[in-house]
Amino acid sequence: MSAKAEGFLPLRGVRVLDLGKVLAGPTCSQCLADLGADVIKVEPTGTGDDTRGWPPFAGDGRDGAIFLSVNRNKRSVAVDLKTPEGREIVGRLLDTADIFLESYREGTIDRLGFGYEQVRARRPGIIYVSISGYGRTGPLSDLPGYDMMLQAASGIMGITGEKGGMPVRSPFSPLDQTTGLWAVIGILAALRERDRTGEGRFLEVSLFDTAMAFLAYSAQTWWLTGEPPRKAGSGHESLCPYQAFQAADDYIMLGVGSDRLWQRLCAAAGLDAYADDPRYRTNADRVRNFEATVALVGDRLRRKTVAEWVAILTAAGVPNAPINPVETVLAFPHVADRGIVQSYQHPRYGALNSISIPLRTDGQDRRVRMPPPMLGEHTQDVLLEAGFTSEQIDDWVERRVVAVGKQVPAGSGPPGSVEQG
Amino acid sequence: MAANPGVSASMMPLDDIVVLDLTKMMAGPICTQYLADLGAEVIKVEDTGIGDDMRNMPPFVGDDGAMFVAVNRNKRSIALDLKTPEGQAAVRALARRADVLVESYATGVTDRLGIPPGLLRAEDPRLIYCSISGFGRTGPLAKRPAYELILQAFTGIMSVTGEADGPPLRIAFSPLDQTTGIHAATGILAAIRRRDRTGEGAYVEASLLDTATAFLAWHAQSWWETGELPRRMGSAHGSLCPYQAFRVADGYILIAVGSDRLWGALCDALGMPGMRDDPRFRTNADRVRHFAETVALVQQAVVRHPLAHWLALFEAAGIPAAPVNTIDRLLSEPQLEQSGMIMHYQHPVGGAMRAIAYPVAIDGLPRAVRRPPPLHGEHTDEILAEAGYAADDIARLRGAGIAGRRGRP
Repeated sequence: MSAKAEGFLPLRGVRVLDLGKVLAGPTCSQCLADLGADVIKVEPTGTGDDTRGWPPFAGDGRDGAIFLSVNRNKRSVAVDLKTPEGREIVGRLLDTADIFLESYREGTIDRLGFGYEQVRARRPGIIYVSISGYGRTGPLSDLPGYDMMLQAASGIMGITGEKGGMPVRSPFSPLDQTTGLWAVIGILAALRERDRTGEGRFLEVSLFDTAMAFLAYSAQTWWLTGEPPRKAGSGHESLCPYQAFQAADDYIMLGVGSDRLWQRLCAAAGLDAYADDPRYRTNADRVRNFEATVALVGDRLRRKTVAEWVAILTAAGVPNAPINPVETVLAFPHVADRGIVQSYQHPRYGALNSISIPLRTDGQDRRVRMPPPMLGEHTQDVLLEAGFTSEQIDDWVERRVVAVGKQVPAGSGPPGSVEQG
Repeated sequence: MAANPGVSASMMPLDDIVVLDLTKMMAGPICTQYLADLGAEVIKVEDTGIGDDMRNMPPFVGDDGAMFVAVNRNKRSIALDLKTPEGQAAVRALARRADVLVESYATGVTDRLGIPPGLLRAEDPRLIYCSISGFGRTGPLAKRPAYELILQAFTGIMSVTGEADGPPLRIAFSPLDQTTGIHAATGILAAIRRRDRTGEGAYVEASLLDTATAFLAWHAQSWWETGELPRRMGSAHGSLCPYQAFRVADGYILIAVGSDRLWGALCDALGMPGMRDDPRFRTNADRVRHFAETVALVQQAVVRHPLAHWLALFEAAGIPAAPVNTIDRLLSEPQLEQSGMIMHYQHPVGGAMRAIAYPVAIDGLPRAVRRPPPLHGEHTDEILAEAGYAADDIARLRGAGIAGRRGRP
């Protein structure tokens, strides 16, 4: 197969030793895997990555949806790091790794013997990535890092929701997921540097720093004005009209992000008399007269249905959208056309879908090369590659230092399914 | 540069990369700002009228909006009228010097400007050309205008955000714009790596639609596996329980029980040890099955005491909990100054200013602003000169209003 036909795999030949779990670390390593890296996911021997046990489940209930969504294109090795042999196994895997990724609670990785200095001493040139809630230093570094906690602690929740309403969580764990992406950026940057200098790096990303970066413009506003940003429901503090409006039958989103679009909206919605009204002409004018602008536009939009407005506004080139449910979106021809969803065969669960890495390169299709692994599915392969013998591996399985996935005997499960041993 | 110290020691692996930045608003400028933070030389092309729209969004630093200032450090600005043949010629000259071109125009505009990816990549096979768009450059929705808010509604993110019976809510920090910028930066970095090895450029596409869909990966997975629609759950999580906001005597507290061990600790802390081994609540899967009961149980217990009581108790017990902070309180956390996430620099108009750093700490090195966010067209002359324009040509372009901010000397 030519390199072209295989897709965009610039990290081919790069090996990642992945001691991350839950969401941030796996998001990072899945991106690296999607870009061609060989990702070895090291999991505990019992139940593996926590998210395997989080409902809802595929098929027989062994692996949860979150696990399946962020662990494709990786191999799983199940090792008990509490045993000296388990730690030596990881040490051996380190000898061929380019990237080491961990997301343990503060202090744990040092106790396991895989802190940065320890890892670097064994494998100079390693790019070491530490993912945490609050960073590895500073007064808050001991706090655990859960996405929702950080949404609350960072102020993100403080600006999300209706004025006076209950706290609302952004339900797709943006801090976990984006922290994983920052780790990818750090790794790609460090790899280029290493290509030039041979030197590795110690990279730290944290949910807290990610939240801060997300809040960069809110922070800038606060520094400039001394007014803390407030909850604004669906509205935006610096743009108007840019929020949900009640149409005759349901809500519609309207996004007037420039004065040119304001002109178009006025023409399309019968507001021509207001297009050049000094109260509304520029965005700064409209933000100054926020409530009047919203009332003016709201009064118009109430007169027709969402479908009617979508047709009118779209024809006029004014950004708008109905509030679609997730399943409607997944069914859009556009989603299929863009290759956003990849379908693949899972050995246990049969036909599954997966959301692609949200990057398309040279217009190529993105593909699942390997399904999310069963726990310990690749323990045997990876340890053999690392030079251990079958006898050693069998002994470790016996003593539960490692766990291996094995084929389920015919008749006791779906064909080709893999059972954890 | 000397005014903003701490730069030389940083990781600058892109210090040989020239980025031609044809973007505005949020997603594109975020992408190029982070490339600039990694050492790239970023040339921001703006129109000769008002420039990047975000310069005009309040509140202001001098002539520039806070949102503009937040995402345009470490760049130079050139103002060109791309509706004129000379302006287009200038942009093509700049593209010929660039390693990376990033554009976020409406679909079709690069054709009109004479700088479509096919043409530029044919001229220079090493060029990495990145398009950032709302719905992608192809497909039935490619021509739709797009803003963050529109995509939050369109992609279903809004359908899962907010209280079950409440109105639609916008997630206020523009996660789609910002993360699309991050994905684009990831793609560009990956493409630079390939180019380093093979000499081959790439066409990289990132879009708000793809980003939103990726953010929804496990909601999609849940839908595919169960056929059940994700619902709005306020602050709660569909796969973890209890993991949400609870009302306390004087406000709200967030409690995140992410493991069965923490559930045990919470039962003890709430004085309900009997609950830890109750078969309805023992494992996370049990608690998700008995969601309403679990939440009611915790709610009844925590409402009896104020926030401070619970924060102290939960911290001692190692149970993740947090108050709902506001941004001003966050920015006063000593953690931020210590970790280097807040950078200080001098702005020619705004004076002493602060900025949020690139959120990856590298070898614990300080992060710093090399250049303040540029004034509109601030570097027009020097960039044109670097592209080979003679002084009289530059003067002529300025005189004709083709280069330089309109109405300014």
